[in-house]
Amino acid sequence: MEKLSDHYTQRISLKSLGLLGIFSVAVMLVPLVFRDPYYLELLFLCHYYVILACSWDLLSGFTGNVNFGHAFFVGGAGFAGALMNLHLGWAPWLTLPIGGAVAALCGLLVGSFTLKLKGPYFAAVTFCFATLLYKWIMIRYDIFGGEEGLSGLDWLAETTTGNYYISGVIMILVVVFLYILSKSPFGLILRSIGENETASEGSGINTTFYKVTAFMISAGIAGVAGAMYGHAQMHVGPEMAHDSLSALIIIMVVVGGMGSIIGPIIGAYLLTLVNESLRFMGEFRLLIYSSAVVVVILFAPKGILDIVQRGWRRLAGQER
Amino acid sequence: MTEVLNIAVLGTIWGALYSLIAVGFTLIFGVAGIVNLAHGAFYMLGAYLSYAFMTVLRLPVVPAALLAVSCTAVVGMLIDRFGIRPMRERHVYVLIITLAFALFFQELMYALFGPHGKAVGSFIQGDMAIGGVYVSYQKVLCFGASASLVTLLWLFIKKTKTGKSISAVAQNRQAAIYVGIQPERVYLLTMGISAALAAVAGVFIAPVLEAVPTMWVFPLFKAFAVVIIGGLGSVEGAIIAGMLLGYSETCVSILISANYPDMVYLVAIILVLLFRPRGLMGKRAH
Repeated sequence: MEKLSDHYTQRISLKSLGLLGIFSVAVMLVPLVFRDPYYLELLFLCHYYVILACSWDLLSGFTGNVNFGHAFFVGGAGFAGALMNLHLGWAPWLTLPIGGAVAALCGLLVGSFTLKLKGPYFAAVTFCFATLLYKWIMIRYDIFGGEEGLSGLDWLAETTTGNYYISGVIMILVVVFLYILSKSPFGLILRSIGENETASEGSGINTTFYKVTAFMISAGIAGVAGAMYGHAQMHVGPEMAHDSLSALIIIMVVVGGMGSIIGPIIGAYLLTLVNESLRFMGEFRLLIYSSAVVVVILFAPKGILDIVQRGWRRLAGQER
Repeated sequence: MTEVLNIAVLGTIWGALYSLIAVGFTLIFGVAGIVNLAHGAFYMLGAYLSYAFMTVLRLPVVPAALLAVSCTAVVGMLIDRFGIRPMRERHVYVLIITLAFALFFQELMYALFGPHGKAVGSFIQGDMAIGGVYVSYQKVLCFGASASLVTLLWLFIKKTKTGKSISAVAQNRQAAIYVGIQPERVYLLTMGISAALAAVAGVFIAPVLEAVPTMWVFPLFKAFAVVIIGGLGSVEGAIIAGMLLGYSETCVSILISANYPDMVYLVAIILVLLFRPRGLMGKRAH
C-alpha cells in the first residue's frame, strides 16, 4: 500500500537519486559498448523522446491538464532554430537555447490565455494551436519548405557518437532538473492542483500562475528538444508539429506512468525500442505496437512504473 | 450568384454531415462526461465494414450498410464496457484509452486493407442539379440521412422512455439512480447510439471520399470543433454549430482558397474557448 505521505513527500529519496545516477552513468558508458551507429542513432531518438515525455509530464502528468499539442513547441522551436541557422548562420549552441526560449515564450502566451480552461477544453485548444502551426507550415512552403521541410542545417556534432553524447547530457540535465523540481514546493503545488484544483485555490494558491509557469517550463524544454532534433537530423519537417507526435508523447507518458518524471523515461525508452525491434514484423509492426499500447493502458492504467514499484515492494516485503 | 447557391447547397450538405457526426460525440459527453477520441474511428469502421461486406461477402449495398452500422455499435459498446467502465471517473485516462483505441483501429485497417484508398460502392449513381449546382445523388442522400437521423435522435430522447432516461442521467446522475435508472446501462446504450451515428456518417460519405486508414482524424476534429462551438453536451448546439461550420467552410473554400477551410474550425475553437468557453448553447462549463 502506497502511503499518502510517499506521494506528497518533498524529500528527494536517495533510492531514486541513486537510480538516476546509475542511469546517467549507464547512458554515458553505452557508446563504449555499442559502437554501431545504428544503435546510437536509435538511442539518440530515445533521448529525444525522454525529454519530450518528461517535459509533458511536468504540466499534464502533475496537474491533469492534458496538453494535446506538445508538438506545437517541438515543431515551432525546431523551425525557429532551423530558420535562425539557415538565414542568420547561428550555430547550434545558440539556436538550441533560443529555440527553447521562443517555445517558452509561446508557452507563456498560450498558457496565460488558455490555462483557465479545464479538462477537454484545454486539450482541444492546445491541439488547435499545434494543428494551426502544422497547416501554416504546409501553406507557407516558401518559408518552411512545406511537406519537405528545411534541410541543410548545421550538424549538432560531427559524429553520431557526438550527437549521442550531447543529447544524452541534455536529457540527464532535464531529467534531474525536473525530478528536483517535482520534489520542490513548486512540484507539491502542481500535485495538489492535480488532486483538487478548487481546494488548492481555496487554500490561497494562485493555481493559474503555477499552471502557466509549469506550461512555460514544459514548453521551453520541448523547444530545446525540437531544435536539438533538427540539428541532429540536419533537417526539420512538418511532422515535428504534427498531432501524431503529440499523441505519441502522451502515450509514452501514460504507458510509463504519469506524474512521476521517472515513469516517462521508462515509457519513452520502452516504446521507442519496442517500436524499432518490431521492425522485422513488417507491415504488422504498428498493429502489434498499437495493440500492445491498448493492452498496457487497459491492464496497467497507472503505467509500468506502478507495476515495477508494486513488484519491488512485494519482493522487499517477502525478503523481510 | 452561382457562388451563393454553391455555398447554400454544399454548405447544407456538409453542415448536415457535421451535425450527424457531432451529435453522437456531444451525446456521450453530455451523458457520461466522456470525450471519446475513438469517435472518428467509429466513422472509419462504418466506411470500412460496409466496404468489406460489399466486396468480401458480396452483400448488396443496403444490408451491408446496416450490418456495418450495427457491428460498429457493438464495437462501441464493447469499448465502453471493457475499456472505459473500469476507469470512468478518471477523465485523463478515458481520453487516452479512447485515443489508443483509435490508433489501434487505424493500424488494424492499415494491416487489413492497406494504405491506399478503397472506393466504396455508392447507394445510387448519378447527379442532379439544384438551382444550377450539380451534386451527386449520394451527397443528397447523405444529407437526407443526416437530417432524418438527427431528427429521429431528437424525438427518441424527448419522447421515448429509454430516451428520457438518457437525458435524466445527463441532467443528474444521482437523481436518476433514485428513480430506478441504471447509469451504466444508459452509458452503454448511449455509446452504442453514438457509435452507430458516426458509422452511418461513414457509410454515407465513404463513396464520396473513399476509405483510408487515417480517415478517422478529420471527423473527430470536426466533431470536436462543432461540439465546442455549440457547447459540449448540447444536442441543439451541435446541430446549429454543425450547419454553421458547414456554411463557413464552404464560404472560405469557394470565396478565398481551397487551402484555408481547415483553418476555419481551428480558429473557431480558439475564439470560442477564449471568449465564450461554454459555447453557443452550452450550460456552464463543468
